[in-house]
Amino acid sequence: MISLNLKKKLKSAGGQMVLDLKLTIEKGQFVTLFGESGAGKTSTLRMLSGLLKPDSGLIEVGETTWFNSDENIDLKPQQRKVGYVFQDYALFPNMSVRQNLEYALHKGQDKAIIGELLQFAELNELEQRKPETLSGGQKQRVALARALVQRPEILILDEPLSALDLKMRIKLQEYLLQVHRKYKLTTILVSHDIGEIVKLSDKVFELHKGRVIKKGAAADFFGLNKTSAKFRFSGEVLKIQKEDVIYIVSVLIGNDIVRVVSDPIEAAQLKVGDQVLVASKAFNPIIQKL
Amino acid sequence: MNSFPGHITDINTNGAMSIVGVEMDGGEKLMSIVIDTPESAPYLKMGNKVNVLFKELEVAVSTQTELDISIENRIAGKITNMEMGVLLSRLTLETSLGVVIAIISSMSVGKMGLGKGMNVMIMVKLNEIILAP
Repeated sequence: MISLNLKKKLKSAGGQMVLDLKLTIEKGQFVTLFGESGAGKTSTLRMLSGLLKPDSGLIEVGETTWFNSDENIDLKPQQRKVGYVFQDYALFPNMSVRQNLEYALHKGQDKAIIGELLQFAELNELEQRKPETLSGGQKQRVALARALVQRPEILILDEPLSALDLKMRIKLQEYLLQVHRKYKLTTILVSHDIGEIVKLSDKVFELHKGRVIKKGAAADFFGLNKTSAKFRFSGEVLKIQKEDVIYIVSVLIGNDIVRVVSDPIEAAQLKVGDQVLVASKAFNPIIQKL
Repeated sequence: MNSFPGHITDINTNGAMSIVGVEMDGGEKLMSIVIDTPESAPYLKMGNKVNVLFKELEVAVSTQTELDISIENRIAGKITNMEMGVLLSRLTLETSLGVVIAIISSMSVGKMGLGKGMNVMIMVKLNEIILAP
């Protein structure tokens, strides 16, 4: 179990903010921190990994105390078993794929892990390539493999897929789940993509101005379990147009645009960019082999 | 979306599906078929409160009270407002459930001679009713 109780004064775009956060994550869970920019998500993860020092508080991981301001305990980042993956990959441009991974080895660590990770990430054929010659998805697989070199217990994914196109995102989402299970990790994701969050995580914590304001199981959190409807998707409103006495709402679901007819009263509550649930009974859609 | 509160009074399960009877707060009874059972969906319990949801475009309107037709849910209503469009029309109906919105073709409105103040029956098939616990 990971237990965080953190206080930290932060400078945000809107001035000063006091992060005051209590959070408990079960071992082996895949959780998501959700919330608008500046809510304190990345700061929380930086404090967990030892890159940012809390003003006061406690970080306990299993039986070990990583940080305790009262007892002056503050483990160095390299003593904390955390793998960190950033949106921008943060690979060393002058090193090959293999060298990027080897650089992460700690002193005296068996090199066998490098081969295992290269194979698992299907990077064997690319191991001598420099990052600049790789696609976005390949770079992110390298960054992920590098984060696993020191066999972390906790994997932190800070918007890891947001720079990738949809097809690559979906492929890497599957890969993240495989990694999470194979290496028995406790994984903490920061993401704004509701489909991605529901697909990957067991639990969601919403942060607002440095505090946890809501938590719950992923599908419940976004209200996807609120009806008996079985034909349901989450998406983003692209267009709302009036037609006769009704409105037609175009919604982006995955890489498909679907259109949903809406009563004026409902349409008045929607705006372009809103995340929405689209649902129907399983009895209504037709299905045909292509 | 038309949405009204009620509580569950009947659950008839066979395999993975159930037909659920809901007594509405106004006393009317509506039925819904769901791909769920009391085992798969704990909210399916006698007496439990649920909201009954159905889309405006799934509401059929009839001027006859006794129709021999395979639509299970029927409620009497009075047209209190009509907004006529070219293809579709939006009817506001006062019923024992509360205000129901029905969107039907303007063709039918004309053919049936529907107008403000008329008493009609509204009908919704049981596979069009969503339950929201």
